[in-house]
Formats: sequence, C-alpha cells, structure tokens
Amino acid sequence: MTVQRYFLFCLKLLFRQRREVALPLFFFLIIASLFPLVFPAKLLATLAAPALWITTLLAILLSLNNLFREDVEDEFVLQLLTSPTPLSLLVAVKLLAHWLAYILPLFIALPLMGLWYNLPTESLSVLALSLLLGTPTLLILGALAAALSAGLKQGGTLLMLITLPLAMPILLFALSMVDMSASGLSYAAAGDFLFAMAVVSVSIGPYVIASALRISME
Amino acid sequence: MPWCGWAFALFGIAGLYWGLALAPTDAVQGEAYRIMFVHVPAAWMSLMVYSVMTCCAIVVIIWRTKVAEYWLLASPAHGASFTFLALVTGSLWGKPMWGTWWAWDARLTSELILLFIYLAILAMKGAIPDQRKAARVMAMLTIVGSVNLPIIKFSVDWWTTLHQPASIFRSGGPSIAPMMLTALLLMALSYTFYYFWLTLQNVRKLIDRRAA
Amino acid sequence: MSYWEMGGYAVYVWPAYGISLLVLALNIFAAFTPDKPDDQ
Repeated sequence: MTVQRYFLFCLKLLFRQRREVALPLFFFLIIASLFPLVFPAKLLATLAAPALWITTLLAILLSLNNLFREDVEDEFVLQLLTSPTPLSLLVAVKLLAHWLAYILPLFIALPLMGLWYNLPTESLSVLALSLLLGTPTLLILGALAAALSAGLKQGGTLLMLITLPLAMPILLFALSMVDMSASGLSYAAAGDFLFAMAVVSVSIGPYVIASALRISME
Repeated sequence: MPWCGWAFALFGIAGLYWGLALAPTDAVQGEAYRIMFVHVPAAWMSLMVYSVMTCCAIVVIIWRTKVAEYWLLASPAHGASFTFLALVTGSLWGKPMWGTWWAWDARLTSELILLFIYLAILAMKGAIPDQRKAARVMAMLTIVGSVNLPIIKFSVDWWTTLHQPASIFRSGGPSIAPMMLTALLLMALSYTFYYFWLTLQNVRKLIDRRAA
Repeated sequence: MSYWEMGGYAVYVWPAYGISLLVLALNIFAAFTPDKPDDQ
C-alpha cells in the first residue's frame, strides 16, 4: 500500500465512522461546559486555559482508544507490518489523519469556548497557539502508549496511565506560555520549547511507534 | 549475593549511627535536618534505579539479552518504593522547614511524575503475561520516560524552586559539612547495596519461575 | 532526653525514618517469600 493510498484510506475510514469520531468532540464540549457552569465567574479568567487544556488532553486520550484497536482486532495490522512501505511512514500518515479528524475540530470549537469562558480574543489566540504546538506531541505520546497497550485487556486504562505522566511536562509548558502572555511577558521561551518538542516527537515518533507496534504484535 | 545483604546492613548501621549520633547539629535547621539521611539517599536511588533501568532497556531492545530483561522486570518495584520514600520523607522534612507538606515546584512535581512513570511501567508489567514481551514493552516505556531524569536533576537550576539547590554534585565540590557528608554517603551506599541485593534476589526468583 | 526530641521536630523525623524502614522491610519480605503462582 502506498503512503497516499493509506492516508486516503484512513480518512475514508474515519469519515465512515464519523459518529464515533464525533464522540470525543462532544465529550470535549460537555466537559468544557462544566467548568464555567460550576465555578464562580470571577475565577473563569484564570481558569480558562488550564481547564481547556485538561479537557483537550482527556478528549485526545478518549480518541486514542480507537487508534489501533480495530487494526489489531481485524489483524489488518499484520498487513501493514508486512507491506513494503516503511511502517513508520504509514503510522505517520495515520496519525496525521487522526489529528485532522479528532483534534482539528477542537480548534473550530475554540471561538465557542471564548464565549463560554469570557475570554478576550488575544488570550484565546495564545491558547490556540499553545494547543497547536502542544497537541502533536500529546498525540505522539498517546499513540505510543496505544501501540504499547494494543490488544491488552484494560488497554484503555493502561493507555491513560502511561500517557498522563509523560504528558504532564507538555501541559506545564503550554500553560506557562499562556500564563506569561497573560501577564504581558513574552511567551517565546515556552513556545519555542513546545515547538521543539513537537518537531522532535513528530520526526522520531513514528519510528518509535512502529517498533512499539511490532513488539506488541509478537 | 548474601554479601550484598550484609553490606547493606553494615553500611546502614554505620550510616544511621553517624547520621543520628555523630553528625553535628545544623546551624540553620537544628536537628530536623537529619531526615536528610533517609530522604536524600532515597531520592538518589529513585534516579539511579531509573538510570540502571534505562541502560537495561537499551540492551533489551537492541540485543534482547535475557539477563537485562530480568533485571528490567525486577527493578521498577524498588525504584517506585524509593521514589515514594523520597516524596514522603521530603514532605515530612518540608513541613517543619518550609511550613508546607507539599508545593508544586519543579523538583517535587518532576519527582512525582517519576513515581507515576514507575507505576505505569509496573502496570504494563502486570498486564502482559508473557515475560519476555513484557520486558520489551517496559523497555520502550522506560526509554521514553527517561527524558524526565534530566528534568529532575536540573530542575533546581533551571527554575527558582522551593527545594534546595544542589549542594553535593556541584562543580565546586560538596558544600556540606564533612561529618554530614560521610553519614550521607554511608546511607547512600547502604541503599545501593540494598537495591542490588533485593533485585538480584528478585531476578533469581524470576529465573526459578521460568525454569519451573 | 533531648536526643529523642530532635529539637522539637521529633514528630517529623522519627516517622520519616519509620516509614523508610517499613517500606524497606516490606520489600525484603516480598523478595524472599515465594510468589503466588498465577492460575488463569
């Protein structure tokens, strides 16, 4: 299977399952609405970025459950493992498709979040930037955890246990970025770090995930 | 291997005596600083065990050596214990010294993350029945998690933190009183022997189970 | 007996040593008793 064909295949599959794909988005919307609902209004300004980040993280974790599940169950993954195209490339495009299907919609929901949390446009855009820089790394880390726990019972819970400690530094940097910009300071340092991590994880991530898949499938 | 056990006991007793009886009272902290003699070795071990595990993990991934696999399977429980102790004793030290049981500063947070990583590794170990496969999965996880180690080590340098900056592994040499240093090193050696003693024992148990 | 008092911080210092000893002892115990065999 060529890379392009596989990418289109992933997209088609995701589109065909759009109801399942929409679930993490609904989850995001519902959880994101809880915070302004229960917290007093004056806390919202400080609360918005952390709450939205945590909600995004949870939504990503939820979406990852399906990442390799069907491939493993149908043994389609064996086809992928034996195909002439390098597995890491196939993994890379699958993750790209995953990001487009699951995470991009979250960005579309952001203006609504701005409304719910009373966020000025400027904070919202910094938040959006932090999400843009941080979610690729989160996706790679989560996909690695998914690959390692693929096919295991309790795989979903394991997935979360593995991803969360690794994801904490990303969260810290992203929120520090938002924090700095809110106090009027430059957020370049945290932003650069997030960007660097995104670059590193996207470039070597697929290789590592591919080997993790191989190990899991023995 | 039993000699490891004796070495642990010997250094342990020496270290405890030195730390509790011989070392002088600290100028600033009074007597309470003596928690250091269990806190610092535990913290050092939490990092050392993880480093050993990372080396094993690399060997397991590249060469698949059985010994490395056993060592990797047997270590995380001890690493997690040390991390837990480091956090708890640190907390007990923090309350009298800083007035708080916990703070979300860089070093404490990254040590907590380390504990979570150990627990995740242990969870994976429990979830995979085949030992060899479990070892390889744990190996990947260990290697990915090892990025946390430099963060812990340098956290006190990179951010202003509540936790005391490095006073032993510094470029200028240790800045701590010699008697205290000796006690500290004795305890650290004791903990190290403890780790090797018990991990060897656990490895032996694993080998016996495999052979059965 | 001012030694046990630890300058007033006894309530912190001794539990620290105590829990360290406890955890270490538990690990020793776990290492030297036979594991339960796992029957599915």
